Amino acid sequence: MTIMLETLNPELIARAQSGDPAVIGDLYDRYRLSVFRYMYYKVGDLHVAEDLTSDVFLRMIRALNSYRPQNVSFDAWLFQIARNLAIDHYRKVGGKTPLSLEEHMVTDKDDPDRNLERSLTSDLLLQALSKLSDLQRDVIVLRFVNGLPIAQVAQALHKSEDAIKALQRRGLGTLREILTDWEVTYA
Amino acid sequence: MPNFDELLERKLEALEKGLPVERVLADIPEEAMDLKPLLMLASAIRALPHPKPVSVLARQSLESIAAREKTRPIAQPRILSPKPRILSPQPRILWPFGRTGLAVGFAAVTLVVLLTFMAFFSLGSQQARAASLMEVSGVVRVASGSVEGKWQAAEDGLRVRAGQRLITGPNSSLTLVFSDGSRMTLGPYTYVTLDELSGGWGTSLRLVATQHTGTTQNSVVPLRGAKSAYNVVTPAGVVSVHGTQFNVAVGLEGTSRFSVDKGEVVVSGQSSALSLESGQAATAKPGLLPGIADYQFSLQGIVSGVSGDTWIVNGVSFVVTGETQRVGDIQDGMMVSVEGRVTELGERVADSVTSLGESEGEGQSTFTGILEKINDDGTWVVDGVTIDVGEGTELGAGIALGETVKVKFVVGEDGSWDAVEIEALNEDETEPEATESPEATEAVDEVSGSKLNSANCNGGKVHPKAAKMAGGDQAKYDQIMDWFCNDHFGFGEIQIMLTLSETQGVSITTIYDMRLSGLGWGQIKKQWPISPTGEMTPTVTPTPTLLPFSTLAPTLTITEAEVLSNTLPKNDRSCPRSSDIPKAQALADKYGVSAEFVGGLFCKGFGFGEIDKALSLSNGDIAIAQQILNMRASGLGWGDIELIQNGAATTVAPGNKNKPKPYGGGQGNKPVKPNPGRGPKPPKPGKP
Repeated sequence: MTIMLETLNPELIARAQSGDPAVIGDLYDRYRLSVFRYMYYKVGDLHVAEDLTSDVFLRMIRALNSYRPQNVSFDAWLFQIARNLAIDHYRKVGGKTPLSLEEHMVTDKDDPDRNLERSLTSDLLLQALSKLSDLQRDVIVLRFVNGLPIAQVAQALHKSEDAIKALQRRGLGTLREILTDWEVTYA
Repeated sequence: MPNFDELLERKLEALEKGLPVERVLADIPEEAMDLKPLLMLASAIRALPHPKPVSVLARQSLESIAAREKTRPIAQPRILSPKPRILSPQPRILWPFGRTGLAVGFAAVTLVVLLTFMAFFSLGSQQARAASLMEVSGVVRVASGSVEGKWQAAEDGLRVRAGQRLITGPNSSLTLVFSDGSRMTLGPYTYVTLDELSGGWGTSLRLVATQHTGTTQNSVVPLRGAKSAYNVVTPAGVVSVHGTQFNVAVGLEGTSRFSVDKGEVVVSGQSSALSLESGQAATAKPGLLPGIADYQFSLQGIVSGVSGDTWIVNGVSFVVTGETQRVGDIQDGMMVSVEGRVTELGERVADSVTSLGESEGEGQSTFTGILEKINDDGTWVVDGVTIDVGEGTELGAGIALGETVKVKFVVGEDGSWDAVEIEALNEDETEPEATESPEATEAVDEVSGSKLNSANCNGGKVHPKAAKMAGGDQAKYDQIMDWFCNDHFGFGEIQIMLTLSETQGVSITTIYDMRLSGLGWGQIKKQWPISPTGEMTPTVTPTPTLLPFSTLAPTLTITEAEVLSNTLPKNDRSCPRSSDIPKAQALADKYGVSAEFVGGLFCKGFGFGEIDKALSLSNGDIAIAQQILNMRASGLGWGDIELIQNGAATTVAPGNKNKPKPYGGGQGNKPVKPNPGRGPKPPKPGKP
C-alpha cells in the first residue's frame, strides 16, 4: 500500500536540528519504510536496500543542520539524500546497477504457464521498473509507492513540476507496455 | 486538445483523495481515453503490498548515534592570527632632531622586536596545535574532518591537527604525542576524531577527542591551568581528566568501558557523572551511566572450565554475561585475556574476553581494591578477598590500610591466592603521610592501622586529598580528617562512604557503623546493589533469556551456547523471527560460521546485508567480522572499512620489520586468518 506522508511540523524539524534523539527517532519511524521502498526499487536487493536505508538516516543526522525548510520540504530533502546514496552505491559497484534482472525474468520460453495471465506483484513491478530510465523510475516510485505529491517529487529530483508530470505519463506508459507484453494484469 | 500530462495529474490527485477509480475514469474526454489504463496502473501500484525491511538500523541505535552527535563538541574553528608583517622602521626626518624623535625611533625598534617575537611565537603555537604520530604500526589512515575527506596513509612523525580523523586496521596501533608529552595510544580497529587540539610551549594542553569505536590507552601529564583539558568523548559519556593514566574501550552499541590505572577521571553522561579513581572501572551504555564504579580484575591465561555463565581462567572464576564483549571464537582451552570488574555484590563480571595467540598470554592475574585488613597470620584482605602475603611478595611503596592497591597473584594448589606483587595505586608524592619505606608493615601500625600522618593530623598542613574530597554537609574537611586521623580510615574508604551515601541516600553514620563493626567493604556494598541507572535493585541475579535460535541446533557445544547468550536482543522486539532463521542459516552456511553468531548480530541491529559484507571482508573470521561491524556501527562507511581491511592485506606482511607489538587495550589483536580451507568465495546469494 502507498504511504502517504504528511507535512512535518516545523517545530519538529527545529527539535531534530537541535539534536533531540527522540524526535530523530520519530522521524526514523515515520520515514524508514518509504525510504526503504525507494531504495528497494532502486537497487533491487532487499539487504542492500536495508543497508542503504540505514545509511540515509545516518547521513540525515549529520546533515540536519544544513537543512533549510524554507527551500525544500523535508520529504524531498530526505529523498535527495536517498537518491544521492543510491547513485554512490551504483558507482561503488562499478556503475552497473544490481537491478539488471534479466536472469530473473521469466521469459515466454521458460514459462510453462505462458498462456496464463499473471497479476501484478511487487516482484514483477521491480522487474518492469528496471526497464525504465532512472528518472522515470524515481518518479513512479516516489509518486505511487511513496505517495509524494508532484511538487515534492520535483524538489527531490531537481526538476520542474511540468517535467515531472511528463516523466510520470511517459513512465506509466512504458510500464504499461512492458506489463502488457508480459501478460501481466493489474485491473 | 487537453494537456494530457496535466489531465493525468488531476485524475491522479482525485485518486489520491480517495475517489473510486470508476468515478475518476468516468468523465475522461474521449480523446484522452489512453489515460485510462495509466490511471488503472497507477492505482494498482498504489494498492500493491510493497516489501518491508526485514532489518534496518534499530530506532534505538539511531537515537544513540544522534545523541552522540549532539554531545560531540563541535570543533572550534581555529582563529588564525594574521601573519604579522615585520615593518621596517621608516626613517623620520625628525629622528636626528631631539628627544621626541629619539623616542619614536626607540618605539619603532621595539615594535620590530615585538613583532618578530610574535611571529616566532605564532609559528610555535601553530605547531603546538598539532600532535605527532609515533610508533605507527600496521594499517593507519588519517583524513580531514569532513566525512567525505580522503584517507591517507600515516607514518611516524606525521603531525595531525584539530578536525582530523584517525583510523587503525587489524593488528595495528599508533601513539599520538601531544605538546605537553601526554600520549594517546590507539589499538586495533579504532576510530578517533580530534575535535579540538590546542596549547603548547608552556601553555596548557586542550584536547577533545571523540572515540567512536576501539580502544585507547591514555597517559596524561598533569594539566596546568583552568583552561587545560583532556577529554575523550564516547557514546556513553565524556571522560575528563587532569593528569592520570586511563583506558577507554568502545564496543558494540556504543557500550564503553572506562578504567583508571592511576589518578582520577570523571565520566559525564547525559544527566549524571561518575568519578573513577585508581584501580576502578565502569562500563556504560549510552544514557546508562552506572551510579558507582567497581574495582577491576584482569586475567591472561587458558580457559580451563566453562559451566553455564561461569568461566575459569588461571583458577579464577568469573561470570560472562550477555553484555560481555567477546573478541574471537573463544573455546575451552584457549589462551585469553579477560578484563572485568568486581561488582558491588562481590561478583567478578567479565567486560571483555579476547582470544590470544598461544604465545601472547603471560599467565598473569591481577585485581585492585582497598586494602582492608592485615592479619597476624600473614594474610591480607583486599576488597573482601583474602590473599597470602609471604616473603616472596614484592611490596611497592606507599601501601597503607584503607588505600587502593593492585595485587598480582597466582592461585595455589590449595586454592589460596598467593600475592606475587602488591602496588599502591594512590601513591602521591605530595602526600606527607605516604610511607617512604618499601615495607608496608613498617608504614602501618598493625594493631591500630594508623598511618604516619602527624603533619596533617596535628593541624599543621592541609591534607590535599581531604581538601579535594571536602564539600557538602557530610564531607566537611574536619570530618574527613577526623575519620582519617582518629578512626584510621583510608581515603579510599572515605570515598566509598561518601559515594554510597550520595548514590543510595544512606546516612553516612550507618555506613560508618557497619564498617566499624568489622564488615568488609564488599559486604557493606552488598546491602545496596546499584543498577546501571543508579537506582536500588533487589539482590536477585538476573537470568539470561536464550534466543529461539537455540532450537535450531540441539547439538550446540558449550562455546556455541555461550555465543548464544552473547546475542540477547537489545530491545523488546521478538528476535529473531521465524522468517529470519533461514536467512541467518544461509549466511552461516556460506561462511562456515554458526547460525547463532549470525542471528546474534542480526538481533543487535545489523542487517543481513551488513553481516554478509563483514563476514566477506573478514574471510569468515568472526572476531574480525565483529570488529568490522563495530566500526560500521560507529558511523564509518563501507568504503572506509574496506580501505583499511584491504590495506591490511597488503601492508602487514609476514616478517615485516614494522610488525605491530602486542597491544594491551583489551581488544582484539588477532591477525587476519587465512580462509580455513573453505575453498573459493561462494557466489552471492540470489537476488529477489
